[in-house]
Amino acid sequence: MKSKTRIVAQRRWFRQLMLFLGMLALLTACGGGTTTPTSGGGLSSGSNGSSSNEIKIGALATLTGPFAALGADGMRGVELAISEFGGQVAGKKITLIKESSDATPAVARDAARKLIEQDNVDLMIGPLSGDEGLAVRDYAKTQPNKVFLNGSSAAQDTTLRNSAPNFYRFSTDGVQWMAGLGTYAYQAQGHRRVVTVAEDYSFPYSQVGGFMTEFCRVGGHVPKKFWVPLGTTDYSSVVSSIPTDIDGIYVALGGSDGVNFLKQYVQFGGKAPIIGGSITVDQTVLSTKGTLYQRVLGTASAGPIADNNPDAAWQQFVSAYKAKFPDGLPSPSLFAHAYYINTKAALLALQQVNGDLSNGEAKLKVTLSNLQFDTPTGPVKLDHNRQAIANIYVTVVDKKSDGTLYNKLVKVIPNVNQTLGVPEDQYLAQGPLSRDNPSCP
Amino acid sequence: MREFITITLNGVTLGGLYFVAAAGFSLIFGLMRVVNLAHGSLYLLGAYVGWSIGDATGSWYLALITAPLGVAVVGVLLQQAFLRRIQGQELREALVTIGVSIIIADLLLAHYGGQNYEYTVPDALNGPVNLAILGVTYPAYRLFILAVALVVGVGLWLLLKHTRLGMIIRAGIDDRDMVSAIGINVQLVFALVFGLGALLAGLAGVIGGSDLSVRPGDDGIYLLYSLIVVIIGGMGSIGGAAIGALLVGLVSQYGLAYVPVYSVLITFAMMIVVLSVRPQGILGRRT
Amino acid sequence: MSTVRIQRIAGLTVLIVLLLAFPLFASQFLVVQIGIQSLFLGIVALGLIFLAGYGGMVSLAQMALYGVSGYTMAIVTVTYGLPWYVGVIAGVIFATLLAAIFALISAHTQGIYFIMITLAEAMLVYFYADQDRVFTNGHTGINGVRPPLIGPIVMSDPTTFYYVTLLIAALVYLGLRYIGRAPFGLALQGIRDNAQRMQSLGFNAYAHRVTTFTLAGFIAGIGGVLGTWYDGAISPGSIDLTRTINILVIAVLGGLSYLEGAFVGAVFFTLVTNFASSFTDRFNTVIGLAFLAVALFFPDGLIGLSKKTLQIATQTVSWRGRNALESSKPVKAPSASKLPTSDTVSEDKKLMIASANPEEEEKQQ
Repeated sequence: MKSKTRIVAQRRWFRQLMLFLGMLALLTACGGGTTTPTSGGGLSSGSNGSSSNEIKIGALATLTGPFAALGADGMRGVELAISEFGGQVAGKKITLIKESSDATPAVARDAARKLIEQDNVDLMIGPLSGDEGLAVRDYAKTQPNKVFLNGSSAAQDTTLRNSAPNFYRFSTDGVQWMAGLGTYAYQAQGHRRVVTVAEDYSFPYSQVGGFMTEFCRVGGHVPKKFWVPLGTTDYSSVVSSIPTDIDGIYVALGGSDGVNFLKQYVQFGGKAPIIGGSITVDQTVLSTKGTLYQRVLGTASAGPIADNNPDAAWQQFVSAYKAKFPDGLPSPSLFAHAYYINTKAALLALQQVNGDLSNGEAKLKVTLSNLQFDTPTGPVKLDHNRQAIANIYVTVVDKKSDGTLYNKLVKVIPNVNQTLGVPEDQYLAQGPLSRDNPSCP
Repeated sequence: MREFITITLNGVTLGGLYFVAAAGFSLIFGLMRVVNLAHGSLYLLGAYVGWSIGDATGSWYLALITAPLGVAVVGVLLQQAFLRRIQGQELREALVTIGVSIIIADLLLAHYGGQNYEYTVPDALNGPVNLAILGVTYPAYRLFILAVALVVGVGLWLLLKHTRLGMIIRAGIDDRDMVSAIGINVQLVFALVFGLGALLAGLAGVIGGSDLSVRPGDDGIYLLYSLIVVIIGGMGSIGGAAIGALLVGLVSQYGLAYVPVYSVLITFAMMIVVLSVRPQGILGRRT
Repeated sequence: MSTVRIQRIAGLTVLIVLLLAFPLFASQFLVVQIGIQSLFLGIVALGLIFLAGYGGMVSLAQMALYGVSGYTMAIVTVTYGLPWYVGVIAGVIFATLLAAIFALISAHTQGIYFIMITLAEAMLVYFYADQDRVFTNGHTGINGVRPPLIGPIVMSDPTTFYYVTLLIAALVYLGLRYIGRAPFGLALQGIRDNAQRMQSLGFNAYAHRVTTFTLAGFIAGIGGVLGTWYDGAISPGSIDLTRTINILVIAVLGGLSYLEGAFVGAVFFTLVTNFASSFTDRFNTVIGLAFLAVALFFPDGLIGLSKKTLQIATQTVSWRGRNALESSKPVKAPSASKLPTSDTVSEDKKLMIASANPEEEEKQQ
């Protein structure tokens, strides 16, 4: 005779199966029945083209985590570019789908996958942060039929090494952003011995590398380099370990990390002047509600924008930004700027091919590779790695009559390329930028 | 030498912050055997609410007093609503607190958004102080944190050793069944202790958030550090929490200064060593 | 054949057919994001459920071991360029080895201490992966991990990947079911319920626990290989605190007492996180509420919930023993005449979720 145990087990089995079937039924109800052919390449599903009367654009930025405020401004840049085109391009309506990441590659990749494969966007703009850019670039390689444009991610290797044929970066990278600063710090500000403080990942390597390439070349010295994990809040030990015989600190920390470091440095009575990386005294930092006011005045920095750039195109961009976003920052940050340029490039190219996305977006890709246009910060074009060549600005923090802080333009460096003018094979031979490369103690 | 003194002070003051955060956690576990994994989110709640109060009223001191009280209320509510009904089932209680922490963290994210919040600390506490004795300049605010930690430590010691409530709590940590058997309203004591633990978490949130900014993700960090401190020092022991906090603070600061890359690992490794060699912690007791 | 047996076979057949035919009627996105993801997350959760349900050890280290396997495979194949099978073997072996080391350290502890020590171990792995530049490439992680070509099997094709993952998941599940009913599994459950008694019978509780933890690590390693191929990369973000807790959420939601709970929980979890985000940004709150509800009211998870629902719906079924065996009273340790099998383990014993005995646990420490 069968034991009661066995029968109970079988009944239980049956019920579990019913549950599972129920879930599967739910699944299929949700999913719909479209099957699409796989397009070879990596493990990712092919995706539908959008309907013929709309263009779907996906935008990815860091809306949570340490770079949340920067991500919000990046999105503003996207929206500004789209509104310039009146919300439509080549006779089709633009549908913008936003996704959020938190500066980690894993989340960025998932978000990109959701945009491309679930939301079926025609092209994607983003991400914001350096490591995310590397992850999205690698993902792009598995989706050869879609176009990917950068947001503001600025790790150099995203395009310089192992570039993806369908990833376009119309914004400049972290090394380019430092063009002119090393020389200015040495010659105009008189720095000779500087330590660097930066987060330990790809983008700050580019920034520190870009600064040191010039600074060391003109004779400066960097006796110590501090690398902290991304998201560090307690800099007390870094501050305590800064040597006393230095005359400046190059700080490449971004967003809230930069604010925290400066605050703690001031609290410890630190006196040395700061030299800023491109996102250290950026608008998102200058507008923080805090008391670092006096300390950041006079800080030199460099990057793709200068707040008071008298150029007409820039002034127009700033007014348009302020008009559309009264709750935004007092002046657009480089994130809004980068996202704006990349979005505008996408829209211009779409216009030129008249919205033709057929054949794996072939025409769009060719158009993008050859696209040159005028941005609020001068002309931009792409090199053979689909990396932008554009103007760079050296700035100093100054205050306006109403008391708000801004980055005053002191010098324009035109047409900066990824290798800062060094021949490419020579530059590549130096090896990828890292914790120890370059070095000039 | 100066650098060494500064780093030691860093470790001690950071330990002070960890102590305030962890003391409540230790008490709750010691008495109620509840691993309150929502502790970190209570810290975060205190930090955000404190910021809002400070921003709205312009008084940081008001925030310092009222925010922890608010968090204490939330803590008591949580305990009464969720934990009371499943008392004694350790794993289930832990799971409930995980669920609560996920919800609180998400709601805070919804309300405050993803960016950083900076406290405006009163000028009296801001800026460097010249410690003539040791010959270094040190931030006043960090010394304030240390002062708060000392006040909390002494206050708890007085509470536990010299009040009737403290006596009940200590007895409860030792033998809970006995305490209810002699007719004491154990439920009330539980609610009070949970509230006290939440209050300390909220207080830590305010003073920690004032020093370093407030951001999502802090809840996970402070929960982890509270766990480490209490495990090393001993569950249910305030003295243990103090020792554990001091150890963790010093180790992390020395680590950051001298072996920056792997400093975090050393802290965790310390915890694992203690757990495998003396699972009840340095001052904890095997009940 | 009894009706029960017919029902069982019919149900099983329908399930198998549905799983096999899934890619044919569901969209590619579903197959990849829900199907494959649920499968390899479910595999990792299976290890946890086996550990927790049969061994009484709730471990938070599963994702860390997943990460060890994934990172090892990535380093071997991408950084050193060795063939894929070397990467897979190295990955799984390393994960198993590290699991054994963790187990040797932690298996002395129990209950809540065990959870905390495994959490610390998990965070150790995470912070190491985040900080180290030599092997793990720090915050950036390692990209470019391609699913390989295994003879004629093109792993990079989603449908193929789905079937391979399905096969592996089925094998792991069946394997664990077998082990659960084998003498090892029975001894393990005995140790879970009353280690002292089992020790006096001559079983080495510590050795059993270490072996089980190592086995769970091995399973997590398998999941790690699949998951890393799925992502095409691995980074610290894949194994941070949130993802660590996610596996626990999946296991609890599905039902910590049931092996099948791993996949049920994983399907539920991936569905909610993927689709709820279209309706609300607060999908984490939704998950948290579901988790809370399960912990408070439905300790048997979704599977237990479905059982209760069906129970109510089929009140008319007359079978004498039904009420007695399916009551929710916890039963003490089994007598020698009725050793628990894997099928009945959850009928007879509501696990530590419902009947933890703190005093006894502390005495055993």
